[in-house]
Amino acid sequence: MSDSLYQQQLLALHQQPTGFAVELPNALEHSAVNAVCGDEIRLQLCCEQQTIKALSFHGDSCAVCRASASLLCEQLPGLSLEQAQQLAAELEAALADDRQNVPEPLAPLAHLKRHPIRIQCALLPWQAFVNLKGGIDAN
Amino acid sequence: MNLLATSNLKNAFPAFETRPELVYLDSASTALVPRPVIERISYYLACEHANSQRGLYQLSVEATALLEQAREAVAKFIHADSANTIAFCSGATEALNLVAYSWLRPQLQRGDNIVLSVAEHHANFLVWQSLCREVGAELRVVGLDKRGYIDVQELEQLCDNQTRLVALTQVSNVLGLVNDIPACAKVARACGAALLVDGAQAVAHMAVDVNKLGCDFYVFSGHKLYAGPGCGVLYVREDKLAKCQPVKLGGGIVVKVSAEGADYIKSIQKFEAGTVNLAAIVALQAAINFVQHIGWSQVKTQQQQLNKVFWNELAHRPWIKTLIERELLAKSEPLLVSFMLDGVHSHDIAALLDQHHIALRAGRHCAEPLHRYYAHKTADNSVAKHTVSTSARASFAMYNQQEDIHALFNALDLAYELFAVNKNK
Repeated sequence: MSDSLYQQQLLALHQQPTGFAVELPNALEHSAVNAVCGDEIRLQLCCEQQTIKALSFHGDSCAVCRASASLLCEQLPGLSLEQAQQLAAELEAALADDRQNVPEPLAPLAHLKRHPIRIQCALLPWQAFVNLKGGIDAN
Repeated sequence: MNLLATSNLKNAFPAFETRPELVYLDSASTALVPRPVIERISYYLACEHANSQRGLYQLSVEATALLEQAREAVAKFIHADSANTIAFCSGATEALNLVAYSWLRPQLQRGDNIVLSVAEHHANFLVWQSLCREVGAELRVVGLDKRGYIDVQELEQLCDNQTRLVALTQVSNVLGLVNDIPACAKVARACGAALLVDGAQAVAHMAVDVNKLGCDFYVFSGHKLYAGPGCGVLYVREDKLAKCQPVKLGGGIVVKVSAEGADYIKSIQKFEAGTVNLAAIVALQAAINFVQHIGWSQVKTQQQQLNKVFWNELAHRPWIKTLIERELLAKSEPLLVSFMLDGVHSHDIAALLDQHHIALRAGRHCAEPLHRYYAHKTADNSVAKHTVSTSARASFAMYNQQEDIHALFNALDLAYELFAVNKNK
């Protein structure tokens, strides 16, 4: 299944995700739902002075969403909130546009370009993060 | 070749000619369309199309006759007393909205209540929820017994003299069980409430008799009955018709109109303002003819054979979970089956099966309250807790064969192997 949606890297992230079901004390939270397929994700975020310290996710979601959330939890700690939001925007733009490359750390999601119906699954945790950051900015 | 030879009804469905590899297990969502129905639509559009009930020329007169013939056919199909109980609309969803705003809204008051079941499709849930909020009425939701049927005893407890409507599904689109509607009708009647039955999942599987059901309103969509999209049916018992106010206003439903006001017609056509979708209506009549030619006994026999194969296959796979305990469910001979795989999200099941040309539904099937109900009921069961928020659904129709069931389970084996976290095979 070389052009398969479910490539090895993605499946490995789904099977052993980073940050899944880890309760972070004193974390900020945001939940997101994909009404089409029923994916549900609750994202937890700990940050200090605009720098991300830790992220975790919870809920019942598909392999693509879990893999994407795992990458988010793996890649964002150490970045500033602004840098993380920029990465989310780059991912969304790249998945929507064949001429743009998916940022290298998120390469396991790159082949979703060939499966556009599943892009919403991959973006759900990133949208949850952006909404969470929006709440922080508003406060 | 006899297209309707019961040994292989796939021959009657052109979708399998263009996609011979297709295993279609999503008929509860919409059924494929047989050749006689397609030919009927084509002939109508080519040779018979005109605006019905409008023109004085022959083509229009004949179109009107087609419309009324279809109304008669539908009335006979559901054993209604007269054609003046049958209104055509776009589908079951529109039919439900028509009942809500044509019949119930003008009389519903603060303090009244509407009773429905937790197994309702969103179409038979949202409209009543919205109406209750608009008026200040109460929405009461009946649960299910342990076998998955609407709990008639609980229904009795929830209905009272303030109940204006009981709205129930004849067959749940998630559980596939045939509810005891006559028993529910007795409860509704005892408290003076009207009974609406959502027959969307029933009409393609069994003979319907609205009088035996004891309902005041019955709704269904043609596209689940092999008719293709565009036509729904609203049955209104004649004694309820007078209290229905036209809510979709336009041409064809008035006696006279002036700047001061309008007098509306009293007949069932008051629901059909504007130009009706006659192509879809004649298609529905053709679909009814098609189903009746096959015969309900053949439809039932085939369903039973498919069920037998399904449950045999399921028996070897403990990692497949049904929403209701599988032994109880199997005895009930459901018309469709929703299930979960341990540690596999339903979206992934559907996506993988699609790679094997198998079409089935994943998610909540427009029945989120029911999925939440079972998630809550099984909260002590850690496996169910992880997976019950969505499900995959396999639904069958007359074109399905035993090979389709085998293909389904072979693909489910692959899905489990590929995705399952913490396999427990």
